Amino acid sequence: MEPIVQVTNLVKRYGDFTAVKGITFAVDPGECFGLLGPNGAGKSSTLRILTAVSPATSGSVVVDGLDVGRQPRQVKARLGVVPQEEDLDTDLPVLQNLLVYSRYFRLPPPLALANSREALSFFELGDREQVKVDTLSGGMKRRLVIARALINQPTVLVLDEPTTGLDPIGRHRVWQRLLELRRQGITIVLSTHNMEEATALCQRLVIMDHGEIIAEGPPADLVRQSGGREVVEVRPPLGEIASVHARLSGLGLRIERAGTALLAYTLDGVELERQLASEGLQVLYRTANLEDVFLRLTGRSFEEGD
Amino acid sequence: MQAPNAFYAVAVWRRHRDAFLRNWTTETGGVILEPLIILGAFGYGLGRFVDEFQGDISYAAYITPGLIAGYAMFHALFEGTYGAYLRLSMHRVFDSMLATPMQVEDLVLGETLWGASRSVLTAVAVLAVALAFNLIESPLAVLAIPTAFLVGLVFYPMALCATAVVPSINSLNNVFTVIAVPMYFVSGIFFPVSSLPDWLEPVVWALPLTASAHLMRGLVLGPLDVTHLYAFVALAAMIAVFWLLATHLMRRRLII
Repeated sequence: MEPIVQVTNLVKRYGDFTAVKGITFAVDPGECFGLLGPNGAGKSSTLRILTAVSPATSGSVVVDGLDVGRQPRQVKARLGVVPQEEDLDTDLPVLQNLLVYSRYFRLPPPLALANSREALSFFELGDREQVKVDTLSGGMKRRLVIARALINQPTVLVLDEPTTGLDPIGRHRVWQRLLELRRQGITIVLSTHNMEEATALCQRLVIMDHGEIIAEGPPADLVRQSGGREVVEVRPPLGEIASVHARLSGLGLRIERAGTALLAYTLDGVELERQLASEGLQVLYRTANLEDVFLRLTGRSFEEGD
Repeated sequence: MQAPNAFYAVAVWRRHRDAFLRNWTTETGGVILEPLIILGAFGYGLGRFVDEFQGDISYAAYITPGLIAGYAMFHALFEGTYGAYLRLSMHRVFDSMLATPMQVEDLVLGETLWGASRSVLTAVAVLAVALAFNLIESPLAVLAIPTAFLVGLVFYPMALCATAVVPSINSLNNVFTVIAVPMYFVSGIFFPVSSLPDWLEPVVWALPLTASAHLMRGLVLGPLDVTHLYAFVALAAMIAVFWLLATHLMRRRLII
């Protein structure tokens, strides 16, 4: 199968700073593909190049057979873009936001109206057509931005941090809609620094750090390969971190340190949890996730940043 | 830089028109009030002291064409500074447009066409007030409308250049306090440039508003001579230069 998006040796420099250091990945048609990484990993820069609004320093991006550097107009006509920072038109009410936007894609007015109404109803905004954008909640605004991105029936939907800043309910509502779009077969490329989001939405993802791809694959595979399906988080008293660390290592377990917690990776977490809890340590048992993958690869937790 | 596409430029203009039609009642109450006050204060207040200085017409009738040029300038500048800055930085309208098949070149052309349209709107308002004051004698006054469009094409890209480079919206005040307002008072709107000191005259003639007011007065009040052609050519050259510069600076600002 020909990939719908092909990124090859992509580099982006801003002056002396290199934000993207020669990354390569491909997205298949109909796939939901994620760029996962902490802030500053180069995700947004990559997406800005992919959506033809920012020039690459070197390397190439091909979308649907078109080179984004040489044919930006044609590429942009095939994309739906959801930016990280909400950019709805506050001078216009909800429906008119979509109608005005559809002109930029040269949609005939009857089709623009039909697409707009359909998108609004899909995102549960059908009863807000004449409302001012300012009066919408954060979650509604985000859904409206995604509705706007679908107005031209794009080949690829590109979302930069689609749920950042939303409360859990708003986030789940967006996820549910994106999963429905995924089911309908639209190709989705999204960036996120939220592990849960990447796991919930993406069939395949790359983990980025400092402008490089450090892991690639389906989320479940990545977690499995990181060694240990289960994790016991131990929070020893501050003075005893080193001694507990040494003792856990002595059990032959892989141990990572994240802040004041020690994470022990094992195949049988329940037994280990019981043993440590009986010694009076504060412990938490859970299954391994993408955060653990990142920790193993970089030695840092996501929240720690650099 | 590539050539702009007229379709997308018009789409920008239409977006601005739609937004304007949504909000014009709150925005444009002053469009009629301003010329009323200015024509009243300058034309009749000040005019009573200086009447008959130009011979056969009243002072109020003398300043009317220049006022139209001045208003055309101010409205293009307002729209190109504060209006465009809000669209650029606060409301991210430009970002949202550039995510579509629109390119920066189309955006700048569409913005400029809209700015010139605002100049036309204000020219029509001043003309209406002047007509009500019985200051319009010749049907040639209708030429003020296309001329106002031309004046808008001159000043809007200038404003856009400032908008593309300023660090914050407050810096845009300088466009008015340092450039536009002083220019407004010396560029032959309220008194002939020939009454300025000799050394200042050539400087003032080089100002875009002087050429604008001169052309406007020639077309509205007559008689036309070759100096009006010079003014037109000078304005056309300024349009070309500042339009290209605005496109370049906006591209630098938006495409990173």
